[in-house]
Amino acid sequence: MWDRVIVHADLNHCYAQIEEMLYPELRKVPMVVGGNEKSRHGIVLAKNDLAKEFHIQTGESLREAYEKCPHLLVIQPHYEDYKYYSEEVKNIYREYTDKVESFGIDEAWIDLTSSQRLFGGDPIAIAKEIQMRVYHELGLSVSMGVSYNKIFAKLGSDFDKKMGFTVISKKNFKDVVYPLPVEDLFYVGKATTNKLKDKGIYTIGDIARSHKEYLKSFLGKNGEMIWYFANGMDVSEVALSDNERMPKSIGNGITAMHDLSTFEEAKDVFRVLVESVASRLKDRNLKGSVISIHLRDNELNSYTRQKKIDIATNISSEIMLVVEQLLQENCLGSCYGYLDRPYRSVSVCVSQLADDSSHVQLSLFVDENQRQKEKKIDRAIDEIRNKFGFEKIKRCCMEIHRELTNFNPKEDHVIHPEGWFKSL
Amino acid sequence: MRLYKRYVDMIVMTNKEGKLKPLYMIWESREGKESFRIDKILDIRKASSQVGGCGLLYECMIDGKIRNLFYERNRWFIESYHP
Repeated sequence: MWDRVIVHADLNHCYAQIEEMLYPELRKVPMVVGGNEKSRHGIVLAKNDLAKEFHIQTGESLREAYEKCPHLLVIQPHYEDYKYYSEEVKNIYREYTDKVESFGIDEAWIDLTSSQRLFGGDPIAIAKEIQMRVYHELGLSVSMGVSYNKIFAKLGSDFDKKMGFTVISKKNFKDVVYPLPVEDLFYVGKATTNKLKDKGIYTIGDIARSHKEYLKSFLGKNGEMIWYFANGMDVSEVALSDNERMPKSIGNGITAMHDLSTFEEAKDVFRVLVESVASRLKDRNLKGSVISIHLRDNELNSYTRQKKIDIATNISSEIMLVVEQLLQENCLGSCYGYLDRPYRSVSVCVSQLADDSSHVQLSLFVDENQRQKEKKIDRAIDEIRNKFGFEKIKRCCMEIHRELTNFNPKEDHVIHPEGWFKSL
Repeated sequence: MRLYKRYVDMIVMTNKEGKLKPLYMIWESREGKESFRIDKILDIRKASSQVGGCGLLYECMIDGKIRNLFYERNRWFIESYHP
């Protein structure tokens, strides 16, 4: 029996592993799951072990991957399958505790503290049982880290990626964790690693032995946080399974079929994204007062511009108006109608969210009747789309650049990014 | 001998509790359709298959032989010796 038992389970190479489970012959060839090159999503999303031998990295372009391994097999992603089977894996975890916190599609923290007595009292045996059940029942391997806090549990599951099992207890954590390089620690990225190395801090042990205030002096509050992490003093809770957190922002983005060079092209793509964002806001009964656009040009430089509006909104025409303003103010080129440079991908995001059903102070200078009409139009469009399909109703302008606007950001492949701070 | 994944049509009884009991398997071949009675269900458990996929495994006795029938999401497949 431990005071606190936190398990971190990681479905290794999730997409590739699920494909291999469904089609075992894929295990015999170097294979990656990759996006569609024609729609310019041609990157490696996941790779199998044989592809790894060719030093293929997740996130690199398929062209680079083909250079390393000309006979590489590229599978198109089947997101519905990945969501279904990863949820089945989590359903097994949920048989052991109600505290299962997802971290992305393939990772989860499992808090066995309260239920360890129910399943025999030995946390290591329970975690092993879960690992074996996932393997036998679903044919998938998960690597696991068992520890007394979330950070060391995650560190443990990253230790051995091939169905590994690492225990980091209060007794052995100094031997196991301290020799590891700083970048292995959660929340230590490239920039923090460089700063730490400049100060002669190379291992997690070095962080733990440094003074908290010293780390804070050059890393800010993150310095204090990683000091706690390194010393095993993270006390954050594993969230309950049915605990749905309030989103902080709602956004959609797309890599366009070809670079956007004119204002009209950009406007049309943004309109599709805005319609999706407005619809998602209304589904959750939310509205927002900060609207931001994010653009990435064809040399992969990116920047964000945002604007705060006086009256929070979830009406697509109002959001679109702000997006147009932002585009005009920041992205217009010297040649009339053209953007300052070709853009590869764009996204729009609404933040500073508030409940849409709360009472609001009406403005004397805004026609509220017109606003309500616009909202009704949005709702009617959503209803038609829900009932008959996304394609059944759209604005005429969507027909002009059909190749750019023919996508449904609300339904197509929605994977929400995860952050650590949501749980704090 | 190599096993193959063969999706099959099934005649299944759903009882009042919502449990599924496979009764007949319909085997399609060049000669036509043939139905095989599920003589006995030996075991039901969640499992992955060596021919790919996973689901609810019904270990059955069919025509005097033990066969593995899988209920995978919403359809059935059998680990078959015939491709």
